[in-house]
Amino acid sequence: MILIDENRVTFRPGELLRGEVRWQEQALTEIRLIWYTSGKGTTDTQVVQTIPGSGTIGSCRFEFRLPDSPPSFSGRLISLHWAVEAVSGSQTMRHEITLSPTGREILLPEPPKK
Amino acid sequence: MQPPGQPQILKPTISPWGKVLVFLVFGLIWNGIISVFIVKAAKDWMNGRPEWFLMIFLIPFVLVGIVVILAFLHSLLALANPRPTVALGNQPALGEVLRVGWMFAGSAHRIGTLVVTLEAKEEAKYRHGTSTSTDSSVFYRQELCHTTDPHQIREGRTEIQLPPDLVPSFSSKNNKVIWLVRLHGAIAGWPDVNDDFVIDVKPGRNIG
Repeated sequence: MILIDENRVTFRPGELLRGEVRWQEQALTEIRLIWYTSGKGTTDTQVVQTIPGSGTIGSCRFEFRLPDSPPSFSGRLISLHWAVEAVSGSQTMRHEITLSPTGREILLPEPPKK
Repeated sequence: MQPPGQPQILKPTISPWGKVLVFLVFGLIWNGIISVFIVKAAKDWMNGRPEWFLMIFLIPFVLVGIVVILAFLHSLLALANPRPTVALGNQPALGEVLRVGWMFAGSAHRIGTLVVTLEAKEEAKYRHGTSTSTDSSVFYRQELCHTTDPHQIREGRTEIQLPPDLVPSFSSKNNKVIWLVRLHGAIAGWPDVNDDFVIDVKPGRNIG
């Protein structure tokens, strides 16, 4: 289970994302901050930062300094999402967040008329 | 990276010679392949055994071939067009002022109307069976300059406040957000000047 401090969902560039991972079955391999795309294009995924797992069973706190870009956005063809992932054996837990300078996901406008 | 204060000279996404080469190579391949079938259809016709199905089937392919030849000729004529140079006065960032300047080398007086536009688009590449396709969708378009003044056409500058709540330039393997300055110079009775210049728009400051 991934818990974000203060149950925050939205973050701004440069902020600290802090939280805790709790797991029970297998040792934690790593915690990572990622973004990935969805939509019409083939999915791209980028691991932005990783924290090595403790190799034990229990809980582990984490902290990521969030980068400036790319922000979470959604358009006609592409959506970009940020998430924290925790890898434990063959299992991957994912917790979605929003990273945006406006404080909310950026919705790209409809195509302008020529 | 450009030193601060120095204008950043942009390169067009495709040069005039690049366009000629694209149409030449595509035209040679396309027309080379369909010419085999055209020759066969013509021989059958001359031998008094016309293959109507083949001839009707070939019509759209021949039309595409003709369009490619016309596009090649169009790009050849466009080699004689005045060549624009576009420069940015500063590193563009969302929410900040973007300064754009342009200058034409060659016969700029032939351009009757010049339109400079700032555009941002999403571009997504995806696999469709065995082929790869790319779709794009413009989400921002702002006219920066629309002029018929010959002096301003030859050399001009403008500035615009970039919107703070959009997405900066972004590029991954299959998905992109592209910002570009587009120049369209209309020339009577001749191919127009149409050049795109990609700009790298940085993220802005946090809002609120």
